[in-house]
Amino acid sequence: MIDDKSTEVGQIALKKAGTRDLQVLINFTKPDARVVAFRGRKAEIMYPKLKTVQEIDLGKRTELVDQFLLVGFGTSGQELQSNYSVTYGGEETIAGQKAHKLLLTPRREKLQAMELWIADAGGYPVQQKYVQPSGDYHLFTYQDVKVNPQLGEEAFKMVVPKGYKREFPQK
Amino acid sequence: MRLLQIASFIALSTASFGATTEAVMANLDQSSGKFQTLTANLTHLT
Repeated sequence: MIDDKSTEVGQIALKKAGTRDLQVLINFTKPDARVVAFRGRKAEIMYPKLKTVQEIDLGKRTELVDQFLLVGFGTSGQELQSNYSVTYGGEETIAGQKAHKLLLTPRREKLQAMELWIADAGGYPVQQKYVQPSGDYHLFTYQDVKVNPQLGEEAFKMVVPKGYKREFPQK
Repeated sequence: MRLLQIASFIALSTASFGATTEAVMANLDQSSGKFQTLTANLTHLT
């Protein structure tokens, strides 16, 4: 296990039009600016310091995309239970909110075990923890959550300034 | 007697946790149908 902890903060905007139609824009502001746009099987990551945008085809990592779609916002309890064995982990306060912790054990080989904290009021995740077999993990915490605000297409559009280069790391 | 008390406590706790899980699942079922968009401040710890 690598003992190399880091924290980044930013804002997320997310839109789910169907089971498989998800648009996400994450604008990380600290410690380094980075914008991540995600739609369908394609992700774009913009690094302002490097004036570079990377395009990534997620089609080759469908299991991760599916996990994000299945366990993210707008997931029904029925969907969750059809993909994971769910164990209740108790009540906790996350970012000042009362939440219920769920321990998810995947029913399919390609999914990862994870922990999910659901807000008592609202029924959406306030925290997600993906633990890798090595013990390393990703912990996402959501604060000041607004559900169903009016968002136009521009909320999900990555604005790339002129002069940025485009890279395709998979090619 | 003490063993019986412990067994009862475990049974009650398990039943309570099971009921809570079902309540959380029901909450997710209800909110997922209405869900369209979301904004939030995000912290990512690795």
